[in-house]
Amino acid sequence: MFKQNQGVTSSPKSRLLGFATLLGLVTLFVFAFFLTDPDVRLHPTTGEEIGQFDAVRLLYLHVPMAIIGPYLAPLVGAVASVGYLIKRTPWWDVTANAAIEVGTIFCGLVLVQGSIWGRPVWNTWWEWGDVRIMTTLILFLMLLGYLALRRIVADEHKQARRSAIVALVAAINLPIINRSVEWWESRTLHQKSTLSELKIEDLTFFTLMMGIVVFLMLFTWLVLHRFRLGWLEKESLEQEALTAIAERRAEATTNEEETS
Amino acid sequence: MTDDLAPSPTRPERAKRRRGPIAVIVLLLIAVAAVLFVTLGDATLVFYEVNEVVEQREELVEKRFRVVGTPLPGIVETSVDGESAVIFTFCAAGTYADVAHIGDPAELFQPGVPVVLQGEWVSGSLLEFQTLPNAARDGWYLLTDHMVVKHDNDYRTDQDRETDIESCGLKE
Amino acid sequence: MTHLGYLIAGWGITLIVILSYITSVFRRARSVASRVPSGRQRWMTSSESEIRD
Repeated sequence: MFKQNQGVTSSPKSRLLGFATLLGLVTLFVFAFFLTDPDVRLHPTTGEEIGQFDAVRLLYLHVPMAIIGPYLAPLVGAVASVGYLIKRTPWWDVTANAAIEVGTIFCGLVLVQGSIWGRPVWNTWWEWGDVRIMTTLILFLMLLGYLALRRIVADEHKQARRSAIVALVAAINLPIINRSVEWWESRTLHQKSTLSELKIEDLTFFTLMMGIVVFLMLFTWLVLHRFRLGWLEKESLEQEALTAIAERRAEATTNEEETS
Repeated sequence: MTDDLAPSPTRPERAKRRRGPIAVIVLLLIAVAAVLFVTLGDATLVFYEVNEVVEQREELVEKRFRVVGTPLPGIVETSVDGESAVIFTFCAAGTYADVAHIGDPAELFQPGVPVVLQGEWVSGSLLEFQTLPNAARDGWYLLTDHMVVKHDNDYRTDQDRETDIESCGLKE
Repeated sequence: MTHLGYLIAGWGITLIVILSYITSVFRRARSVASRVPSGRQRWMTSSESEIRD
């Protein structure tokens, strides 16, 4: 079955990935807090110090998680949902669910981290009307809806089909979130992409890249475990059904024997 | 096959189990509608540039709006009607407007860093505008009470970047 | 260091939420695994090549 103090969803390779991720997170923390400088520079005209100061250290978390939570995870979920709609096999459905559940947590955390970063840097915890924030919030609510839909007891295939459709509807939001800062420049406080314009350099750039790699590893590790849990749940349901059938058959046989 | 033979829950039991998630889905749909309503419905959420609010002053009088621009050097801390305030000149694309911002300014508020202000046009002037080195002094000022910093996406430390403040002719 | 409270909150909340999620996945997996025969827990009982991950 499973060894004590060991996740049942673990395998040698997943454990290796887990250790590498942990090591990566510790290294990221050291770089983010001790090796990189705060964001301070002199204004070219006024000569005064400007920037985010130490609040920039939140971006080593926020940016990598924002690439995964509102983009990669729903995208994986949507691709797996398409896979399900074509193949109709549970593997695709369980994969979509795993990616979207982890993505929902990342997406929620991205909104919270953004809010915490926004207070000292923007002077506001939350900005209604900021198109980037609002579209991300709508995606988060849709992902929560996807997870709620999966809790509605229904026929396994019907539930998977409905969930796949919701995942695809939610994915429509992805390009809107991505382009929002360009399309609605006069309605968004959120800055444009730093990475696509490469307005970052040296150790700050390296640490941000490291953060992206580490969080990709964490996402993969989490999805892997969530997938295996989903597979166990599917097996467990099948097992319950088989047990119930066996009990019914046994009951029927006993009744037949009694009547004869 | 297993699905057909497996005992399924009775109708009331199934309905009971569905009720929670269905309520959550309904609440989420209401939340999405509310977010869209707030985001799309509030005209004050659009940012005007300083030159736009100066050009459209007649239409904007007695309306609340948001305006983005760069504060110029010479910020004065004072009080207006007994409340703490900052007085400064605001600029974008070579157009100036005087501002009286009521309340504490943003933590990172300083000359040369763009901000978005929310407020309205007021006819008249304040004594403090006389002391501002680049004041517009056009008989109007912006009375604002909400300030957020518009942070850019540049994390480079070099100083070759052109900033909004230069377009206001202050580099010389 | 400036903004220390915000940094602790941002990093702290992230860490707590992710750790709680990991714990919940492991706990749920343990509880479900007890209802599934070991022969059907593929990644624990079969060779790695059989796992589609």
